[in-house]
Amino acid sequence: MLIFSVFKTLTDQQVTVELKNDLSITGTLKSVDQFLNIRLDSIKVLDEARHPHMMAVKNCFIRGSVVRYVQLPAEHVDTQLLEDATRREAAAQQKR
Amino acid sequence: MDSVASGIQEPFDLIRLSLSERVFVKLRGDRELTGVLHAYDGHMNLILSDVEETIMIVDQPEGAVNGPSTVNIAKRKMDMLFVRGDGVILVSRKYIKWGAALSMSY
Amino acid sequence: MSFFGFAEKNLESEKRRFLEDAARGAREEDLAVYTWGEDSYDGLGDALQEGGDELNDETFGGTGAVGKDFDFSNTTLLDDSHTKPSKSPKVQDPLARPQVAQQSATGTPQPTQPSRTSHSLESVWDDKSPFSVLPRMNGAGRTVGHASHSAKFTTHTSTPAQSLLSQQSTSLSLGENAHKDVHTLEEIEAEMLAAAAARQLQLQAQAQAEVQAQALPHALSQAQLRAQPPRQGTPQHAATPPPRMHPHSQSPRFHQQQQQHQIHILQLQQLQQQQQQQQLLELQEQRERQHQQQLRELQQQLRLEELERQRQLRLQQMQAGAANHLQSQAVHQRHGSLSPSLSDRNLRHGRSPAAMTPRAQLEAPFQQSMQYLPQDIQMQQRLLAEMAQAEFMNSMQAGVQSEREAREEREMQEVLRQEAMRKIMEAEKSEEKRRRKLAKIAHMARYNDLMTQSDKDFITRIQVSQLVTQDPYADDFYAQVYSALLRSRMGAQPQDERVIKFGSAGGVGLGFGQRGPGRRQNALQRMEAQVERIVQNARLREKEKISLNSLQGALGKTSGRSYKAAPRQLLQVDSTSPTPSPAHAHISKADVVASRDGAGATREAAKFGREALATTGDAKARKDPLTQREALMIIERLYDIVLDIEQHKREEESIEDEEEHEAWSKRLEQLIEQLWQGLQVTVYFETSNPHPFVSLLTPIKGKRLLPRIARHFNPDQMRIVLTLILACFAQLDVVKHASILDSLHDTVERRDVENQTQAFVGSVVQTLLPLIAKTDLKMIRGYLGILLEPNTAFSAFRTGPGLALLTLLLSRVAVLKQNMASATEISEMPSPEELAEWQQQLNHLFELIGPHLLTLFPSVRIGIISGLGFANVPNADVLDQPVWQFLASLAVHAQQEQQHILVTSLREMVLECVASVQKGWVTDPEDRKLRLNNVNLFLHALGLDASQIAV
Repeated sequence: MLIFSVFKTLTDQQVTVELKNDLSITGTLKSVDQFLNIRLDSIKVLDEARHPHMMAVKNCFIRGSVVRYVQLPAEHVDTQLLEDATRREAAAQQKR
Repeated sequence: MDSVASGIQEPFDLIRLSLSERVFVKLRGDRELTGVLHAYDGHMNLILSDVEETIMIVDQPEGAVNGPSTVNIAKRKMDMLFVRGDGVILVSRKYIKWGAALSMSY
Repeated sequence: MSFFGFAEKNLESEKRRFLEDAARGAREEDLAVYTWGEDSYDGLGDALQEGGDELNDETFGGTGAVGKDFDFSNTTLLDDSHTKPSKSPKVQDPLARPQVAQQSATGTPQPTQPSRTSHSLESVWDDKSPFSVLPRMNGAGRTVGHASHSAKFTTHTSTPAQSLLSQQSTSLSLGENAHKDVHTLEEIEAEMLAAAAARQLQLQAQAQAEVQAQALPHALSQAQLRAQPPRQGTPQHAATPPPRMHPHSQSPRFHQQQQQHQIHILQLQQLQQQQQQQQLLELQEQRERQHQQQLRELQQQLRLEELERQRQLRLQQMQAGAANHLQSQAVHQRHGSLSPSLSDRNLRHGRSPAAMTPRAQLEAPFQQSMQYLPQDIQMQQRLLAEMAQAEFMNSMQAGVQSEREAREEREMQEVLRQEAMRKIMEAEKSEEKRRRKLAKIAHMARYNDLMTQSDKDFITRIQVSQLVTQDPYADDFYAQVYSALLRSRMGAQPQDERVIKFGSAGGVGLGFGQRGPGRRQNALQRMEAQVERIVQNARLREKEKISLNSLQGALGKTSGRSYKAAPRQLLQVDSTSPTPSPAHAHISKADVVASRDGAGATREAAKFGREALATTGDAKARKDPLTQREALMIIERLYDIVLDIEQHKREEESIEDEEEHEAWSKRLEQLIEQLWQGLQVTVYFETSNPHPFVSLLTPIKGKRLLPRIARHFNPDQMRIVLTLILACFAQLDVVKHASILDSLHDTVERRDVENQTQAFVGSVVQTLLPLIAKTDLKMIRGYLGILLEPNTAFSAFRTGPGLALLTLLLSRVAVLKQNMASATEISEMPSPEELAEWQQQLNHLFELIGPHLLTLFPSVRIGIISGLGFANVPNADVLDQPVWQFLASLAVHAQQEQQHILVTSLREMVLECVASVQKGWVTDPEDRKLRLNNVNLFLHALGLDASQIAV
């Protein structure tokens, strides 16, 4: 839930999703769910020449499991808070 | 220090120690990351900042199975990165060798 | 068998009569009509081929139907009163009676199944089993006599009636026939013969089709290129049988025949009472009439078929609308080669498929049938096609010109045709575009309304139920707090919470980002309602989960959230083991103990030795410094406490009861005490090097922890912290590793020290700033005294944090002096003695710092190491700024000769800076400004300005 929570705060921000097949898609994060499936709008593929079939695609839904990385806008991540949230979740899970 | 010792109950507690520390992450597909750990969860999903990724590309000349293979290393940097946990092999703290530090010699 | 023989001479006469009829009919009627139904007609073959009804008849149609076929007369013969469960007994009974009467009384040519009637039921059954079960298959081969007879009958001059019947029989199941129709002997025989003929035909047709199939691919492959129309044509012909092949009962002809038969029957009934001769005559007449009428009907039917065919052709032509010049040319070609033999055509097609026109391709499906048609039928068909073509052309040319005229005015027509073609093409194109658009819309909309609103709600419910938790704040902590921070920064109402809560526990964290009004809001409300409905279920499920755990293993494996639990320990490392494997030690619980017992054994011994040296008590016992991991563990524990405290403080709002508040306060005190102890600030100063507290400050998160801890501590506690930091200043990592910053190499270490230094100044020094800002001169002197101890002084001078602290202290004294001058803060007023002591301390500082003034500047140090001039060190001005600030704060306090020292020491530096700015060596205006500001900061403290300096 932690990461999901983080992604929620990043909606409408520009992110770059790198898939396990090396496809990198930059777009506006529109929504995310607890499986970290991602919906991106107004997307642009990093290496368009290598993936011409993606040229016409304007938005996409990415299954969470195919994601390798998501590059986030650092200015929109509060690292201190993020660490706190991580600690809270870790503590909560220890209690369970 | 027994109370401290009891702080470690499961591997995730060790990762917790690395929060906001620079960590080394080994990933599937001959990838390695170093970055400052800001978040992790039970799936080993990570959020790192100030990341440097190292990709090792092994080029083996055709035909030679045991022949000399060259390893190309590609590096790139990223500001803030979410790493999906299913690719993570290991997370360890990145130690800095202070032996390399300059002494104040003037 | 017998009835064939019995009927033989009769049939001969019948045949003659039929021939006469045919001849007469031929004279009277159009020849084409008769030949239409010739047994060489291929439509039958088509029908049979596709139906595969041979097998069907064997399995179904044959058995049941054949029995009844012959049964209807049989039963009525045997038992008149017997009422058959037939659908039309009224029709059948009167039918049967006259026939019987005829047969028994006269023995004249209307014997319908006499052989059957003479047998018993058993014999009927017996007879049925070998042959009549498969009447059509075996009919021809039943007897030699029959075969020869049939051979006689299947002459090319067979009557239309027979051929008609043969068509009927092949296209109908026998059962249907038997029920609804009365059959004369001829009809039945003809039926069987026709069936045989049809089978032969079918075989022929198959063989032919195979031949055709070889020729067809060319046509098809080309047709495919031309898209729809030709391809459509082919299956159309295969799928929908030509009108003449419509099932008997559906054709108008059938109904007319029915009527005819009924009239016939009534007449027969009347005839029964009349003389038999007359009856026979009349019957013959009747039959003749009937035949004639049938012929007329047939003719009419054929005309209808022609119309139908014509219409189909036209339809195809319309479909083949993408016709080009080739097509129209083909029409003209066809005038020239009106009657090429079909084999010729095939050859031509085979030879030059490329030359095949779309028109010819269109015809391809017809070719198969055309081969079986007599010449005139082909002619007719072609004529029809041309008529249709002409009609098509006429319609295209606005019906102004006929084809004949067109031929006369060929040029005119050509132009018009081209025009028409262009228009057609355009129309086609736009039509195609429109169709594609429609198809796309249809494609996109194909899942529209696949789910009802309740379906969607259901799914939303499932999704939301996944998000419902006992504590929405905890699980959505980041988003909750982040959005709260953001909102407070934007000045929005803080009560605008993004959590749906239910009662005391449970809820959904909506996080942040729901900014859109209107629809989103609606969706939110709907979700709220949804969630309320399911929250109860979710809670029940939670309970179930708990009870599930109690049943663990009762019914095999039960699923739970296993990843949340600690993994089962596979390695049981004994904590008392003398040599624990270091590889596993860091996972085992006994980690620290193990390291103490094992690897640290020698260290322990040394420690005991040191402890023995120490004369003081336990509290001052020297210890090993904290390892990095120990420090990290303590820090994490402290973070837990801090988070607890913060959460605890948040809960204050909800407390109303005084007693509760007391308990709350107690708990808070407890937590803060834990925190204080955890910080290890009170541990004896010389316990270890570095001091445990310094070890805790070493990781960046330790530095960041301090400001968060500080707000829970009272000033006295913080003063202890400050004192400890100053006392252990040289032990701090940022001081120890500061020299790395004097290197220009961008290494991981350098970056780390940079970050750490930044964090120290940003977190630790910032935390101490308000404390120092409230300290009186006496305390400041104390702090300065600690900092200027011989072992810390130099490290303080050469590090950012050290200079920052010094600047803070000096500035505080400057403020105190100012206050003294303006006499605002009497309570903080330092006494003259204190001031004198301060001056002494300042003198001491000058003595210490005097020889090192230049090396205070990072740019100078970097310059020395890298061999660059200090002014050329990148980013020098930013690096030097804290130094200029410190020098300025020092200059404020400096006396005359001290100022002189400052100026002479820094003369070069200042001149260089001013010169580089004034002479424009520094290109970037921002850098120039910064450098000038830096210098002026110092010069102003001395009462000077950079502008006064002439270079």
